[in-house]
Amino acid sequence: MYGMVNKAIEELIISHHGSKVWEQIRTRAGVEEEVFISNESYPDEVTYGLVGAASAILAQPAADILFAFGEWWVLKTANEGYGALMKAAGKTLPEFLINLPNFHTRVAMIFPRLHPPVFRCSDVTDTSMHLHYMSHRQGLSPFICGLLSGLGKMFSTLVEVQQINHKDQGAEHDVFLVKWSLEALVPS
Amino acid sequence: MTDAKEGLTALPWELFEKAFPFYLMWDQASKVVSSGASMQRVCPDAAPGYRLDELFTLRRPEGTLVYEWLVERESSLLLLDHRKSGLAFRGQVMHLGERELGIMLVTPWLDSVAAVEAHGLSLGDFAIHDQTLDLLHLVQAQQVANADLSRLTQKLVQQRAKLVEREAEAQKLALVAARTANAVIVADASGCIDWVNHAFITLTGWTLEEVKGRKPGTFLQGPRTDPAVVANMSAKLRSGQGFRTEIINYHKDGSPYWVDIEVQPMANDAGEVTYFMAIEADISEKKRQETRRGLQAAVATVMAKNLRRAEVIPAVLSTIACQLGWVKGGYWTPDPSGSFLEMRDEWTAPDVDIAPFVEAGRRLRLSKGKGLPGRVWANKTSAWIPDVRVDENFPRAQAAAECGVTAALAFPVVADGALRGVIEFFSVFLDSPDPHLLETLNHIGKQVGLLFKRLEAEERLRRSERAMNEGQRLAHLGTWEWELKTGELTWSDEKFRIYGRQPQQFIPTLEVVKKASTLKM
Repeated sequence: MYGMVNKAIEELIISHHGSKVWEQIRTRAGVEEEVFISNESYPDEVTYGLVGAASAILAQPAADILFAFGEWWVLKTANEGYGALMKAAGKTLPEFLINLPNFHTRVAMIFPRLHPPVFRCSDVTDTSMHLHYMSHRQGLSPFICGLLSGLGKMFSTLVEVQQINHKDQGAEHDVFLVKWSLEALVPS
Repeated sequence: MTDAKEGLTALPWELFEKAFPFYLMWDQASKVVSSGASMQRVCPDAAPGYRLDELFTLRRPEGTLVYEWLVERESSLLLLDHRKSGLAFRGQVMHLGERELGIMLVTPWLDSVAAVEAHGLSLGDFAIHDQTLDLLHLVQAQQVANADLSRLTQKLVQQRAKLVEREAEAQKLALVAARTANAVIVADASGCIDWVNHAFITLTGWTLEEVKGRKPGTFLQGPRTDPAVVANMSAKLRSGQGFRTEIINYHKDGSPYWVDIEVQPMANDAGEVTYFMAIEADISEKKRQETRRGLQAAVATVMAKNLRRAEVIPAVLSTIACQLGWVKGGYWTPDPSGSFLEMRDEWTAPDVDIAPFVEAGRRLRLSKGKGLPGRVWANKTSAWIPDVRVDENFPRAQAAAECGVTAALAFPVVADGALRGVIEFFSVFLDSPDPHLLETLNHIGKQVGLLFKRLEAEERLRRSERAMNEGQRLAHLGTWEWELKTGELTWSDEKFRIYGRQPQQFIPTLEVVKKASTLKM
């Protein structure tokens, strides 16, 4: 997993619960790294371990934590690291989402060991689209929902996300129905 | 020409514009005739009719932006600066000779992702195949990596500072631990010794090599160590709690000493106890002082009681033995001829079985200098034998060995410089000689001697009074005393009888005496 995702987990925990709780979570997850390198690839177990430990120590469902991580990733961590690129990727939420597949293709080109997910947009209308999420990783749907929610906040757009296909229920891949208001088409 | 190539030459203009959204086309007069949509957005003046050199400056290679010069630069990479926006463009010039047009396929040259937004561009302005976007992505990734590196460096600097600080602290603490007069033990979570300081080695006689990996209790504790204290210490250690207590430990040579021990657990960042640190202070002298003070107080209490002469020695024997925690006491007195000492009194602790040793004492007669009492008799001072079983001048050594009797001490009971007797005590532990205690016992011996002397004087007085009263009774004579200072009168028994009074019911006064004398006259 992208180091930046783990970094997001770290920053979120420290921001909301302090360094001591983060150290407890890191220790419980058996993670020895003290600093995550953003563009480095880490075993997926590190991320899953951190989420599991955070869920146990904070007594919150893992899905809630993943959702919060998703929002935080967009609004804080990625925005700080890739803020300029994210801004260049689109002036509106739909424009950004349409650029998302190419963005991840470039990530895959530049960092071949990262195995980023594949996104595809379909059924695009003025107020909605189907966002297809294809990944070998399991259980990250709440994280995607958090990302989309965070993007809505980034573009000051009321966004509604509904997962309509579930890979863990036998679908080929996850599909999210993303809806926004017409005002979202006006650059913020 | 193949079909594919023919198809390419027939590339629709819309597709060309999509593939090269920043292209720039000019005529022989070096004036713009057409430009791509993205070019027009960022350089609105790049419109038909404007001369190239009005719009751009040539940064590289050196030359002039005129049609003829550009025709000859088809193999060059050109770098132009847009005069108004300052935006740089890089690209390749091609010459459409038949139409006498020049065309440059360019893209903006951006050295940071921020410049995209600064120039009002977005990723959508670029053709998808344009590697500018990949370069931008790389630049951004590089910036992120640099930020990570900076963060990592900062963290390393912080950690290094902390490490240096902790190291300095640890060195100070290690110095303190090493130099302190108290013994210091560092044990792991299971209680096994990891390190001891020099004071520990001095105090106990054990070296670090001998004790490393061992539990302190297995070699420091001994027979006089209180099992209840040991159990309490073990319980605290098991629960990871610190504690402070006093306990008897033993030197490597087997001799006991008192320590005040304070144990503190040391936990890691996760709160797990990883080490215990024990600081032990030798408080043997303090304990000996307490013992001596306790002994003197207990003996003083005994002596203050209204004991008869015969009750004194048994009381002194049991009191001192109990105070010292020794198991047997004996009192030896010279025989009538003054040639030998014989056992006169003895006391044995109720919970020990040393009958053979007791019996051996009863059979003995000791001349001056013989055995422990004989030694005390000869030297007229107290003595201490650390282990009677190996003492060459101790006739009861065999019985002592049989009963486990070890240490012994004795002191003389003296009055007016003359020996009245010798008091001895025995222990089943290898208690070390305490010169101060021996001095205290010498003093107690003198006090007992004085007590004997006083009791004997009182006895003599009682006998004398009894004789005088009997004489007065027979002669029918009464006597009386008049204390001039206080005016108090004291009558003899016969005086009361003469006056027909009961001593308990009548207080004589001078008036009564005068009146009686007047009547008689």
